[in-house]
Amino acid sequence: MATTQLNQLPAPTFSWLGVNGTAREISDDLADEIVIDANDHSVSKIEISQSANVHINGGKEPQFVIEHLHAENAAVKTTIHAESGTHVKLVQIITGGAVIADLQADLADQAALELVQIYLNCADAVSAITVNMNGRKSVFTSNIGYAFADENALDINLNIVQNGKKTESDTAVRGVLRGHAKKIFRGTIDFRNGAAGASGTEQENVLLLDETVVNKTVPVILCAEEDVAGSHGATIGQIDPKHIFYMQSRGIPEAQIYEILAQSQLGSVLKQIGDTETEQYAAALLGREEQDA
Amino acid sequence: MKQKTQVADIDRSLYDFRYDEDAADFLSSGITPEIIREISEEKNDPDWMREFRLKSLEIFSRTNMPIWGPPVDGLDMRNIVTYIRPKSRMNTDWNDVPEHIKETFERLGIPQAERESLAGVGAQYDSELVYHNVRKEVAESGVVYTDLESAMHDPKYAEIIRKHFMKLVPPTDHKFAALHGAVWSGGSFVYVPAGVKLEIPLQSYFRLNAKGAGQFEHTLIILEENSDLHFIEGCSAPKYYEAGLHAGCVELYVGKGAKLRYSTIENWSKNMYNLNTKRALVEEGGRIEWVSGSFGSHVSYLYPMSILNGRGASAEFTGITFAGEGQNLDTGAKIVHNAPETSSHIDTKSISKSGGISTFRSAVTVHENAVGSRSSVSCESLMLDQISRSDTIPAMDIRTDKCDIGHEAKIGRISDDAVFYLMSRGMDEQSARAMIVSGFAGNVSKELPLEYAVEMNNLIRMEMTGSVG
Amino acid sequence: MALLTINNLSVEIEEKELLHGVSMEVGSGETHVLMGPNGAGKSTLGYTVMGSPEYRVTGGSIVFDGADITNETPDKRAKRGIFLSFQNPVEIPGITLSDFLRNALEQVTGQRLKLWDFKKQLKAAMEVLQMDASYAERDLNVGFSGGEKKKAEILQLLMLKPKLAILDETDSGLDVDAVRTVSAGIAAYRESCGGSLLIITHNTKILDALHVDRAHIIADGKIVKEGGAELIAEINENGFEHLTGKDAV
Repeated sequence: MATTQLNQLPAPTFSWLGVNGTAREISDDLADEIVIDANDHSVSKIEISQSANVHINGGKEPQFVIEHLHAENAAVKTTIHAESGTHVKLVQIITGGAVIADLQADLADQAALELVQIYLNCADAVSAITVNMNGRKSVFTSNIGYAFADENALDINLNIVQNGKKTESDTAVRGVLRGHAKKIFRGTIDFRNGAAGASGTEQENVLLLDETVVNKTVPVILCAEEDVAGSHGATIGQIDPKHIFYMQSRGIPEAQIYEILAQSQLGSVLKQIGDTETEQYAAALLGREEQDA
Repeated sequence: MKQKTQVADIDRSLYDFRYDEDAADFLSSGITPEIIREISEEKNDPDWMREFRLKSLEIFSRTNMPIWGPPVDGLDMRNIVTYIRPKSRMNTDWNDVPEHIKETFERLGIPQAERESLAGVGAQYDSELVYHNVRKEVAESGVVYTDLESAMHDPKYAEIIRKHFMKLVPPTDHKFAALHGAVWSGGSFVYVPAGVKLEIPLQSYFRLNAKGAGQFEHTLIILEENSDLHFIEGCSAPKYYEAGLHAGCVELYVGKGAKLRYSTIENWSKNMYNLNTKRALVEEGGRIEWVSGSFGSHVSYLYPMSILNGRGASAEFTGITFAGEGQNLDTGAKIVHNAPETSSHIDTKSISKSGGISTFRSAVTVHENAVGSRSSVSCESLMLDQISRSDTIPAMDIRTDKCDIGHEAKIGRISDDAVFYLMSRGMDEQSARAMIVSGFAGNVSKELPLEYAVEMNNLIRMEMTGSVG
Repeated sequence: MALLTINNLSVEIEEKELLHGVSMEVGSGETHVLMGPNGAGKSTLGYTVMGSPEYRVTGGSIVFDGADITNETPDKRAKRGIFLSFQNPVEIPGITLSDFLRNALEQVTGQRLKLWDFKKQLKAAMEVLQMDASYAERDLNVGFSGGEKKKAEILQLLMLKPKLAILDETDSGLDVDAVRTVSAGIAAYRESCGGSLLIITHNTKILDALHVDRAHIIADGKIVKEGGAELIAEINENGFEHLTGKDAV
């Protein structure tokens, strides 16, 4: 076991906020090696219950990989190489205990990566996502959803490096926090010099359901290129009282309204999964988490 | 301020003139307990203040530089002169101010502005105030506006100052707050009694003239219940080869239902390190409004903090930062929601040009008790070429569910369509771009008194057209 | 000699050619109409004459008032007396319409203008267009409705008094009353300085009140027919189809 610094904010800020990074002990257990190549099945589903290194290589046909991480105490590293013109879609459902998830992706010219991540009430999840968009006109789209309750904690560090000309990134994050849940989302769009014509957007929407939650949001834009368009936004808070009133006026009791809205909060992320079985599975898990909470 | 506002007169030399100092007037450079004692003696500090200075020095020595923000390698503390003996006592009549100092402020347009549009003026030259005066009717309403040293020695205010001095910004806050606590000199004390509303602003102007020196003025403003004040701060310095340091401190106490507007146009020379700390504590129903324009300095760290401490307190921050060649300006705002139903709004613009770096940095924290609070942040950045840099680093820490927090940021360039449109109406490209940038800065200029808005637009035009270096 | 002469002009945008050898002349004081289906190249021609950097001239020339302006920047063309009324004028926050117009007027005339005289002129022009005086102090085009933007363009036309005004779809999106007001503005411009007009449109309502000297029909980046005012009636009757082999959109 060794203590490792994780999730360093690419541009550190006021120390007292406690958002510049975190540290965990990482076990040095041997990890499984899993390689998914371009010529494998068009849809690959893998269950991961212990430390693993997953390698995904884009090929002529679009790659569709679904990972279900339900380890109790594990580090899972996924590496994606998307060569010129390839298309990779990765769905990660992350549940379980203490999990460290690390995703590294490299996108070549006109490569596309579509990422869907759903984090469901892990005891302690630390997730790093690094996307290097070196290729001209490469595209990164991500939909990230999380629902956390109890004393559980989620720490995400998304870092999108836009190096290539006319690269496009679009990130949408939706989450629900209740109980004593703690969450940090760091999302960085890093426009490097030379990335002329690049665009990047990022939006986080967080629903807070209890006064004991802790939500930290750090949406960073770094920019060293003139010809770019970047934007980010965040909305954090309670359910709009107008929505509650509207639903009450249709006869739904208040407690149930919270459940409905908490589930609908992640609904748009679940729809992006694109695999019925996995979608139903995640929806069922989400429903159970909500009932348990 | 006419001589400053005419477009034809725009010239960096307006700020760049300077007068030579006698070497004998400088305390030796560097920061040691001996020097602190010397400053304290020079200023005839009460005992508690001398102890405070020495304790701050101790904190300074053991505090590290921040791990974030622009580099300050170019700043050699051993070479900074922390105190320059005054050539003149504080005066209340410009005619008593020594001729070359008076001429400095004449050229900056201060006495004229005082006659035309201000309720009171303070002028600091290097380490000490050289002039302070308020209009008769303002003084009669019980408003106090004087230099901090005089107030500290006046039995009427000594206790108030001891109670408030560096309580909002303690020397333990960060390295340069500690430095300030050790070597502070000059600055203003303002006291507005309950219910008094000043119709026209008070202004302090800080001028750092001496080479290789630091300015460490302390501004302490106390607004009692339901009072109202607009305070304006202006800063400038000529450019020397050696880097200068400004580590001022501003502490604002806004009482119940009171309203304070604090406006700053900062135009230090472009080799100045501006490591300034500003903080306001706002009680129930009170309001703080910051209007801030950052144009000068080589390096800036500036994030005025508003602590909303009573129910319904509110804060608004409107700022613009323009980073040109050789400048690394790290600016923004901090808001702490520490009571129910508090609200805050941050609206900033930043512009980067000719290799300049501008960073917007913010922190909005909402504590458990701040039920029913709202906050919105909007920041927009403009990149004027591809050798510059613009970063946006906001953070939110939210600890209650009963709140509404919004944040939006945008970054981009001047639209080609807008430039073409203006050119099709006869403007050359440079003027078209300058006009768009002025418009971009409109959120700040419309919050400023007219003559300052004009000055700001002139500064922008000067940066954009590069007519004067 | 004609005021505006376009010689065999070819234009491309992002490596796609939009105009293929267009020629046309507009004489002093004349009113011309440029018609054609959507995507035919009407607006391209307007933007190119004004000098938009987006459009690249790959062949031919533009001569205005005896000078070859093919490579001139838009501001120089404006100073020579060319004006383009934009179909979608940009919104520029922070600059009031009044400040902008005074600045433009000083640029175009090269003379300082007394604030009082300017305000008087502006007030008169706004009255012609039935614009509320408050618009002068609003940010340039920001939050203006489609119709208000068009009026603000014509207001600039009235104030700047160019030798040639190119009106790009100035009538589109306007209701009947607004068209009448805008037409009155155009008539006032003609009266005040006798300038030439090149009206780009695909409908003819705005032309009712004007004496049209010549009409040009453009399709697929080429002038396919030219004639007198009678051509307008013909288009109204039969559309563009028989000229272009396509439906007018």
